[in-house]
Amino acid sequence: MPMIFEYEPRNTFLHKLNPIAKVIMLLSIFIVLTVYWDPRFVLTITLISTVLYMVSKTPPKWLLIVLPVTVIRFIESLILGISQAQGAYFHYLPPEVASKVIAKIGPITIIYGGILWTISDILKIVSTIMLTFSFIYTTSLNDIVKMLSFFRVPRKLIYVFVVALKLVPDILREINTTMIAQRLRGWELSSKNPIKLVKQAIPLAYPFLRKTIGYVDTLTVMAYVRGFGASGKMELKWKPKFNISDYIVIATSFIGATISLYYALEYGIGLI
Amino acid sequence: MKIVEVENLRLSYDGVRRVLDNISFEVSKGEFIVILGKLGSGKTSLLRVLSGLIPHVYYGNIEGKVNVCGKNIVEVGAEGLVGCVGLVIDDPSKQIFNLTVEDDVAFGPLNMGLSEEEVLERTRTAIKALGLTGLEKRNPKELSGGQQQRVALAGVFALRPKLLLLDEPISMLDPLGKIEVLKSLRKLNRDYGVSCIISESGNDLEEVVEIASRVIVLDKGKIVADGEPEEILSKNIVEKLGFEKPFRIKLFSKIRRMNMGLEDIVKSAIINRRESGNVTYNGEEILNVKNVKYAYPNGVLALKDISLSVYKGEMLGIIGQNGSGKTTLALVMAGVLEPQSGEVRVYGRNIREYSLKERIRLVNYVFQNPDNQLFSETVEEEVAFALKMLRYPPKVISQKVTEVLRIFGLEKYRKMPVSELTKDVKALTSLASIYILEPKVLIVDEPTNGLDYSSSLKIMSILKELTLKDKSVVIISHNMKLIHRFCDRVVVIHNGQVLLQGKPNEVFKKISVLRRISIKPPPIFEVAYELSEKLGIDSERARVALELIVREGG
Repeated sequence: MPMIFEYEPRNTFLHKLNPIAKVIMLLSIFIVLTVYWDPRFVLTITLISTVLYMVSKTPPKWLLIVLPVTVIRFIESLILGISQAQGAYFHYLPPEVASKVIAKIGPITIIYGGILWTISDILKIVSTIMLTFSFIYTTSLNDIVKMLSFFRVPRKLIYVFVVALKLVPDILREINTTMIAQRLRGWELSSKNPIKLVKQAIPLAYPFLRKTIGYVDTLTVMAYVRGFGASGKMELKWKPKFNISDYIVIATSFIGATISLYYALEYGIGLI
Repeated sequence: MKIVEVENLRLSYDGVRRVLDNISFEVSKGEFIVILGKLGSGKTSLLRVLSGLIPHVYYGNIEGKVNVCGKNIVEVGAEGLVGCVGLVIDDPSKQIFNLTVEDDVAFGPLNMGLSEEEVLERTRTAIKALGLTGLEKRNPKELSGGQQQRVALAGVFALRPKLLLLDEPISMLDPLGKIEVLKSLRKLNRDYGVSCIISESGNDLEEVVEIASRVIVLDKGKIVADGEPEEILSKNIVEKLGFEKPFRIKLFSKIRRMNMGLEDIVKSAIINRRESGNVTYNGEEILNVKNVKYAYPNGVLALKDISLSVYKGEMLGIIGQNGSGKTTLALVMAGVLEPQSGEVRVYGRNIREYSLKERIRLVNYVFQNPDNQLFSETVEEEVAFALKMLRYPPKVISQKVTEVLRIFGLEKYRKMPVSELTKDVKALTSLASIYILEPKVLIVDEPTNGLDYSSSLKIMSILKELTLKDKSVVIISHNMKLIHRFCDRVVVIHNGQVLLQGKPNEVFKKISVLRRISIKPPPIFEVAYELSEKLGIDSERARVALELIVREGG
């Protein structure tokens, strides 16, 4: 049973895709996602992300776990969208549409352009999360190492990335064990006062921190003795292998992103 | 050819106290050396020096000469030894980086910058050599402990080392895992000529010594004995340092002195000695597990219709392979997990009907790794924590802490920072911090894991003393010798079911059943079984006779 935020070997289309093709596809989507602000276009990308998420069989539970953080970001977008937006900010929407007042709450005037921006921003957050999770779930650590090496990322940086990816699921397991161990000594998080809550969390935080430090130390050493500390001059001779579906994905991503960017930058399509 | 040359090695971490003192030895190609020493004797430090981690990754002042594969480790460090030295530690999960077996084995060669063909060739060879064929695409986390350790070994073996450094590689494994790993090590040593140095703190000495060609005994950083296993282990120094001599060595040295054949001695011992009957046990039932079934959220059925009882004042041993359901059973017994069917009753009432605060004073569970719970500044505060949580008056807390520290022999550590404790004291502190709640049933998961033999004996003796205070103690362990020596009853769990239960002598004599599930009983039962087959006598009688020979000399 895989832990959350961890790769699981499966036989899906995304699992089988070369990591380089996968990264090119994701980067293309991210670039388009950054430029486009029209909710209709962003929604299309969200739908593509959802399809990829489902095709890769990434557990839906992962989305539920990050829901609290996501909701905070949604609220942030909402506040920005309704309180900060002004008609002059929107260069492509007709001014009368962008500035159209939807409602007035005290000193805040909610305009149509602001609502569009909020919807897009929320959809962008959802898409980014889904694409990132799909990538983590479908790409093994070795594939990530190979791919980062292919892109000439410095070895030390790759190492940090690898350790971080390995650490997250293991640390979550440790927290769970520590929590049970302390509950068996009568410990519980009972206060509603945030300061008291922090104080009450110490029995959880200390063992967790100590174990994390010990864990990182051991991981570092074990990676080092297996050649990860080896000279930075060493070049990987691993040649990436692409099959027809990889070429199709790379070509589609490249062409799709180029056309989208051309229309957005030249004609303002997809912008607000 | 000398793989290792160490001359007058001295190591200190603080510049004052010597962790290794005047160490000199050589290792030739194909040797299999056991470094035997108690906790803190310097075993791990020695392996870290040989692997080049000290002084490059870990700080340490080194004096003397240390050459590995003809290279001075101070000059080249661990980096310069990749492809010459491989290091494997006790916990396999910390050595595995990737999420499929083949990816992990390829990790090292990939880091060495080898060509794709060579990486694949080395990966395939290592997988085959370690008997992992068929598991290439599996996630190592789904494998057994023994298989995981073999994956770690394969990952190191793929680097084509001349020397394997193994820091207690079987100490965290179940009996089957120990057998698998030792078999693999023997193969790497004999078939591929890899020299091996394995550290051992006593609990697995019996098994490890069977494949060793040499034993070096380390005490307080000094080599106190070095030679062939039989010669070294029959010396009194081994017992003086707190290790138990392997049973077969003990038996054969007695026989040699008696100048008679083993069969004759056994026969005479049977005639001369009246068998002591087993102590019958009729305590009050405290906890009853009835037809319990438990499945994990992923659908895996961990417990299948388990029923057993725990009686007042008994020490019950639970044994079985990893993944057999022991820990799940313990967590169900402690009320942490709720079974899907069946129930756990404590004093006749379902454990889930008690509140958490009542429950933890009835049945409690001590985790295997003390680091999962220890957090306070001092031992005293750690032990007092549970009572503080239950809002006991400070005066009562102080009294109870004093009493519990005395029971666990922790008085002198009372004000000591938890972070400075040794492994054995940490284990005792963790036990004391739960025992202060005075649970009627104390379930302890692998209390001796990672400890040396004398510390293990100390902890087991303290736990045994608790049973004299009418507490029931349930021990989950892979250490069959300790289970045999201390427990009143043993339950064997296999595939989520109770396979055997009874008094230790009754359970361990069922050699053929235990062998079927790869559980290795204490060696005395194995020798007794072999003798009983040969002499046509009852194995129990042969065991009693062997016990007499070893204890009294016939």
